[in-house]
Amino acid sequence: MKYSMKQISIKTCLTAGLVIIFSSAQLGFAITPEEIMEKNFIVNKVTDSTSQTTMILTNKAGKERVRKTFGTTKLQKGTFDNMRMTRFLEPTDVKGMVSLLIEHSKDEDDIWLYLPSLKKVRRLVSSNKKDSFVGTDFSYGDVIGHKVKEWNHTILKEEDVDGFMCYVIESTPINKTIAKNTGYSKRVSWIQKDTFVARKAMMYDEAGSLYKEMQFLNLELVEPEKNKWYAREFRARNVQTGHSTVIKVDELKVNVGVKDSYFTTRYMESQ
Amino acid sequence: MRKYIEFIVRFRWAVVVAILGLTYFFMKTGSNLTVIIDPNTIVPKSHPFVATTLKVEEVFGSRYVAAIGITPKEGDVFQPEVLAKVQRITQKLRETPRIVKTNLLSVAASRAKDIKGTEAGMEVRQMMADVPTTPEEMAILKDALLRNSTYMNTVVSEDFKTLMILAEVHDATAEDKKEGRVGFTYVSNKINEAVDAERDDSVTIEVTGYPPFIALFEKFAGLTPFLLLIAIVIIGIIHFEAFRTLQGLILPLVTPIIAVIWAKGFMGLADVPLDIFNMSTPILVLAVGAGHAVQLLKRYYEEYNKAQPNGAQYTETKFFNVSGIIGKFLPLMIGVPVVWGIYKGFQTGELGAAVVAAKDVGLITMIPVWLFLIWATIRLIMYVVAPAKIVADKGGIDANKQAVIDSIVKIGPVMLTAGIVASCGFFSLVVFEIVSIRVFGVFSGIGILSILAVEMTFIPALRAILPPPSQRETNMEKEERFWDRITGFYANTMLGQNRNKIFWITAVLIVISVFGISKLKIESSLKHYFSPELQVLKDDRALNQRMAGTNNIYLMIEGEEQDAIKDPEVLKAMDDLATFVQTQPHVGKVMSMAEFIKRMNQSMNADDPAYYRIPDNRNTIAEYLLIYSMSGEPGDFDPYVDYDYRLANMVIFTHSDNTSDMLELWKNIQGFVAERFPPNVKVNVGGSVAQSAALVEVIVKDKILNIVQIAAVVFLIASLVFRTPIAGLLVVTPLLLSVMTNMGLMGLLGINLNIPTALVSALAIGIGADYAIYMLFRLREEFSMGGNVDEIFRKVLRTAGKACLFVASAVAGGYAVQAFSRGYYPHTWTALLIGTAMIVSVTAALTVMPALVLKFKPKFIFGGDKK
Repeated sequence: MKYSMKQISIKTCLTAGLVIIFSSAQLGFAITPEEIMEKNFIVNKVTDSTSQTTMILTNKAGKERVRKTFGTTKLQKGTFDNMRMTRFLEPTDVKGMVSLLIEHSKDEDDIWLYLPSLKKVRRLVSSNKKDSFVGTDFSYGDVIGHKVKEWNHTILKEEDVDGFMCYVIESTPINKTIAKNTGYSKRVSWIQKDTFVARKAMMYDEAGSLYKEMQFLNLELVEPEKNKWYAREFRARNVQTGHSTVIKVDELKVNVGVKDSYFTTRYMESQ
Repeated sequence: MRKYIEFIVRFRWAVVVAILGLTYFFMKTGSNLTVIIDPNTIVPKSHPFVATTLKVEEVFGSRYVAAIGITPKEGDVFQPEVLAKVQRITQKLRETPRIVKTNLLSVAASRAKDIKGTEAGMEVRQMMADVPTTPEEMAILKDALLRNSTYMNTVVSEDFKTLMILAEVHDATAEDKKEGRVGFTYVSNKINEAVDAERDDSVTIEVTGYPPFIALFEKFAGLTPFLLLIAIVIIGIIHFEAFRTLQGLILPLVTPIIAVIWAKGFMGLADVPLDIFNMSTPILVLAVGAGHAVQLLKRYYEEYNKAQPNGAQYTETKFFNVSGIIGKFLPLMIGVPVVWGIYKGFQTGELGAAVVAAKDVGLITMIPVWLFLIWATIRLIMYVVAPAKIVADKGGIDANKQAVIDSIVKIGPVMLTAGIVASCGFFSLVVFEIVSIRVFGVFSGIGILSILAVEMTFIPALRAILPPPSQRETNMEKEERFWDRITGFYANTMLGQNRNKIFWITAVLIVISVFGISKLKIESSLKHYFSPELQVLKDDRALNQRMAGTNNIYLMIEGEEQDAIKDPEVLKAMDDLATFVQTQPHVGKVMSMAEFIKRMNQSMNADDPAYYRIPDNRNTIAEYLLIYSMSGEPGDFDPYVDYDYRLANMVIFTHSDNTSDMLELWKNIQGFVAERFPPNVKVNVGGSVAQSAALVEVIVKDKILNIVQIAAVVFLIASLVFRTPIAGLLVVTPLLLSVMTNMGLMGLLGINLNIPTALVSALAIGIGADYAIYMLFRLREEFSMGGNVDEIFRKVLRTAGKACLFVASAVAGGYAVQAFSRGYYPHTWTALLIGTAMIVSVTAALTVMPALVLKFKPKFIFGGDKK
């Protein structure tokens, strides 16, 4: 830096300006955007968890649907693919319904459903990651996490969100298939500099117009030794339809030794 | 009255300047006047059909559906290029403002899902996420379409030859208005943009539905000012032919034009917006204004001739010679460019093209007029500065002023009476619910009051300023012409032995009219307003025939509480209703939530057809809905069910947009609903066809009511003025005759009573009373001076009667031009109906009414008032 300063006195102002911009950029972002996104991808992948959540879905007219669920998650051994079991507690007409989602990062996910009124387990095959996650404004892709390698990332700037300095990272799909499968032509994420948790995100639809805004609130360090964080409140709003979702995690336990047997269709039927 | 008018004549210059200043002021405030094309302002909001339509739009986003059909010229739709076109159009429409994204439906729309049963469960995928390219992929798509019968005849025709895209358009929001995205021309153009890019030799693309039709309507309604202009010019020309003087050409037009400016200015001040259906209201003001102006002018000439039978003597007569020569050719000079403009206008359907064409030709033909006007201005200044140079004859000037004063003293009270009668009638319309009718009443009322104000101030002042008629003009005016032959014929019939013939003819006319009225249908079909030769109509017929129908009716199912729609009983009733509706005439298809539930039930049971039914357990239905939400998007069911599952929307596709067909269907549905639905579930009907039905019902009912109301007010005031109800009856007679024959004619010709035709009858009564009032006053005036009865009748017909004839012919002629309008029938109807209304009301006022007077010899005319 001192060397650069020396050069300024010799060279023209124009060059000096460029050097300052260049060197500060180098200094500022010692970490690459890919590294940031990789760290962000795993920051909320807790070993396992049990939680009780309330989902509040609100349409444009302000009408609400409230759902309460009990859920468990567990990472499949040696991967960052989750198994998710969700049991519906409310509303009463779907009470006892269970969904089991087995993520497959290389393939379509498996979704199994238990219908208490028919006492049957049924498999649901859904087209892709852009579909809504149980009727919320989050897609399956948003919940599972978008694979870092499938996107090109650039750091736009640094910005303060609620008092936390964040990298603002723009991610664009590496090809059209990714855009089609996720439904996004661009994502902009606000990743906290020190912890790599996302605090905010904006998604753009395939045509390039703003599609969804998301917020991740009340972040909690749940596994300090592994730097795992968990948001206690998720918010998403579809700016095109005016539909919005708030997911509140009312109770959360992490790393409690959830058994693999929870994530079987037999277990779904047994309850 | 005499004092007042003497005052006006004395301060003529001040009056003219003041009125012109006032007119300028109103022109300013009138320019703030907003013209709205929002159909909501004309709908009767409390009508159940309209309330449902608005609710359906609010909750489900559906209102105006545009349909686009894509048909390959060879083979079926399973060709990559064809499907890619549909995908691109769908994508473009998704990004188009005012199109409801979530309701967009086509094989490529994200909400078009293939629900498929498997051994283990259910598969829900977008029908066509990618355009299939291989024969295998094509086969998969075809299977998916066959499996999900919802899409049969809605997104694809049964023979797989046509694909359809359905786009729903919502009303302009506040933001749309800010961005100028208003009107249906805007949406229609956007749709055409998306579609035109895909047109080529391989496919036929058809565009139809309400948005392009309303856009067409907007286009033709936009021609109204142009037609008004033509009417003004033609009225002027006919008056010129009648009076043979420049004053006769110009003055009767100055009054209504100023009055229209004032009325618009008042409305701008009061912040009352003008709706598109009131664009033609100036016609009424024009006709009424011309009527009064002609009566005054006619009387003025009469009085002037009395005082100065040989006209004013001019030392320098060149001025008037030039005006005479120019005057001779003036109709030609104006007529040629106008005819040319009309021709171009109807050829292109563009107002701009017509104006440009008329202007181009007019620039040449009007050269002499411009030169004359420049010359005349110089002369006029000279006349003011040094009148002696032009007019030597002081007697002429005095006679002129005297004639102005006398004519107003005699005609003024009559005009005020007639004007106040008419404006009271119109103002009384403010009690109506529909904004459009209220605006019509206020606008016409203010217009007529403005006419009175102008005729009582500006016109006499101006006439006092203008040079008095020369000998040539007075002679011209006195000449016996075919107008006199008509009034002469009337007088002969009335006074001769055949007087009773008049009553017989009237009676026959009434019988024929009553017969016609019995055949009159209250019915409206927006699509039948237009010539079947127009492209949109051709497109509509083609697509309407191949698919389930290009018109939509919505049935809104309303439960009492949340989740009512999840009740198996309600869903089963809905399903049965859909089956029932599909057996009704004109109906092509019904889409409803019940069909999706049935389809899901089937697929959850390995696609077994036995399970294509509503499950019996309410929770199963709730579970299915939750499952669907895990595979679709939150908005997928938005067009069919509301967020609380309290309201559901059934979409009926029908081949007919006729309101009477819709009403018939609705009657049958109500019968079915009463039997089949639980009592706590209500079913209502909405949609654009239902809204038209409501509009027709209410406007037509309101219009008939308002005819009765105006007639009653006219009767009342006329009775008060003449202090006898007999006078009221006499005044109302021609008015009722013209309304009756109008409606009878419509019935006989098969013209339906709908919004444009109902407006015409309002116009007919607006003017009908005036002729009778002028005639009665004149009769009374002449009788009060005494004389031979025959002579009196002849004289009244020759004077006041002839003036009525001038106006009626002029207005009828002005509107006859519209008969040449191609493509838009309301113009033709207006031409025909205004023409007959004018002829019937003037003929009745000149024959039937005086014949009645002659027969019954009422005291208020024959006996009274010989003070």
